[in-house]
Amino acid sequence: MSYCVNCGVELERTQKKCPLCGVKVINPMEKEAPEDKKTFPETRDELKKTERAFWFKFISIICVVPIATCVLLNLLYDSRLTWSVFVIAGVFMLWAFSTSPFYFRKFRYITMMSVDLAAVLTGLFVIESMVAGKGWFLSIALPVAVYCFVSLGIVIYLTRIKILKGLRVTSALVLSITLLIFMLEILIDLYTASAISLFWSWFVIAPCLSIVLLLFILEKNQRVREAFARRLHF
Amino acid sequence: MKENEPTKWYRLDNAAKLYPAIKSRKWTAVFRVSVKMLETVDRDLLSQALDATVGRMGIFSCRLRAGLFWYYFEKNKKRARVMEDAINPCIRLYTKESGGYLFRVRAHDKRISLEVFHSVSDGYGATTFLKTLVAEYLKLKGYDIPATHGVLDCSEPPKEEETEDGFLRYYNKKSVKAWKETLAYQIKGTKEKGHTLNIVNGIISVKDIKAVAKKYDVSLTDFLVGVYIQALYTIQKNDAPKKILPIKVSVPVNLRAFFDTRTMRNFSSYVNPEINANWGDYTFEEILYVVHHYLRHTLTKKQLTAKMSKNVKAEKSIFVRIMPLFIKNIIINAIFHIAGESRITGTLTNLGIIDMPDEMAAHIERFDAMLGALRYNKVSCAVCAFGDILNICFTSTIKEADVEREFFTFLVKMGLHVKLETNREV
Repeated sequence: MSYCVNCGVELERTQKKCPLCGVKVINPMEKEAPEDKKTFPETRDELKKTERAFWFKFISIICVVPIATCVLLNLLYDSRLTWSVFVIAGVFMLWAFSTSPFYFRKFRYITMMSVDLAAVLTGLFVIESMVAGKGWFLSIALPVAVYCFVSLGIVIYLTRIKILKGLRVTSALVLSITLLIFMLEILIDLYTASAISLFWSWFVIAPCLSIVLLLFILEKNQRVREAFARRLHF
Repeated sequence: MKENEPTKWYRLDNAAKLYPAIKSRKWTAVFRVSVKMLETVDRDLLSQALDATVGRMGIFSCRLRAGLFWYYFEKNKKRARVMEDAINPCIRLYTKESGGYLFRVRAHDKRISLEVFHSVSDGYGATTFLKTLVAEYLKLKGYDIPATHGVLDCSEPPKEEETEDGFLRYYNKKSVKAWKETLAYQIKGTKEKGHTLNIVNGIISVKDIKAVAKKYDVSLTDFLVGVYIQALYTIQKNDAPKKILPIKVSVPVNLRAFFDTRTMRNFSSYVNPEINANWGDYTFEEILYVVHHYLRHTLTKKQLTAKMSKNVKAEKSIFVRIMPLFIKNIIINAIFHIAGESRITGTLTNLGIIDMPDEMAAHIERFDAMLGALRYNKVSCAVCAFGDILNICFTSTIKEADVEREFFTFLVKMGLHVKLETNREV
């Protein structure tokens, strides 16, 4: 018979520490380790794992169907791969998007986004090389895709560590769209005319910036925010 | 059963409808009752006894199927089998593993355990099943056990009235629920990895603890709920949250005590006695006073009818009924998330004193009850008594044993002798 000196409860002879407070059980009268049977068996029930492998294979097989059909038709009529490459590139991107959550054991948004980015870049690169590229992949597609990835990553990160909250998340997203538009016009200008002349992007940037400003003011002004909440609550 | 006879099926009762909808891939609402015999259990005999019992048990011999609008129970023709016990009991039921049955019978050393998915039955039904199973087992061992004290006679076919839906029989079309539950304080802690269920079993003499309860002029359930609230209250004080929410303990109530029925299915409700620390400091006597009177006030036929009528009426609404099952599941899940376990701090279920024929009691050491992991609440408690042994079983999904420590040391300070059993690896 052993007692916990801290809690005053009687414990089983096999117990080495008190389950309530973790204090060691020392019984000077019992020199040898007691060999009693334990109340609960050692075996442990485990739940079956998610069938990640199954879904990965399932989606993969479904993706193979359109690719196979298109390649077959393409070969049958043109006896070489032409338009079916676009289908392959498109389905490949879709496949990467939908299987990546099942491929990785743990869901990390940074891994998922990296996979998606890699898939998009690969797909676009293949398409560019098919249409006897004029260098748009390097000068437009790559920077735009990387920008989207990085800016979205930053917003998610700042939201997760709770620097961005509530309306500020929306304003951060709108702000990054504004920058994207700005960047897009510069890149297109460089690609077509090699001279930057900002024109149409202002039509997008101006309303976007005013939305950002509006959200910022709303965020600051509690009275206005409450007035909105009062009238719009449901 | 004859070959060409149509398969027997049952609608789910009102309480049962909740659980299939809120179950998840990792979690089903499972609770367990076990009996500790005086001798090591013979698994072959137990397996034979199980075959004899399952046929008698009506609703327990079913499997769960999904229809277009509701789930339903369908007679299972497979054989149920006895499984080995585990250190982490009450993990979700896999129907593939159990042959479609919504329960598990387990044997370990001297203990026979029955784990049940809550959709099938409540504590009363599970206890009856276990008692009948043990009676059948003892009969196979050559003892003569009479079918009294809630033990069912397995030579008879199952009775229609045992599969009755008590809620449908007793709900009142007119009565309206009078009050809403508020949010409750939640225990914090480090979540255990995987499907670890930490068990701390406290064994106390019924006579001794009843004597202490009598000193305070309350019943044993009042007293235990009071001590539980006291423990949670101490934890809340140490935790010192910014916003103080009331501490509410859900106490399941067996409705068979109020309404006449012989059903083996779910027929229980619950009441949530609470204290609100915003209103000032509570002494233990004050907590007991609140609990005692709360239970007397709410445990009346009228209030309980009102409570179940609200749920039955929701289920009877034509809009709910014509909704396809998968949409219903989403909605029930959302409601449970908002209005379910967030409204209680913990659960204390008292199965009371388990009654048994003397011929059977001579072979039994004690009876245990246990609640499996809940979906959001981290610590829960189940109590039952057999002879002079009161078994208080805490189950938790967190590493810290604060609730258990506060609860049991409080009893020790009152001069009670507490013996602990645990599966915690400390």
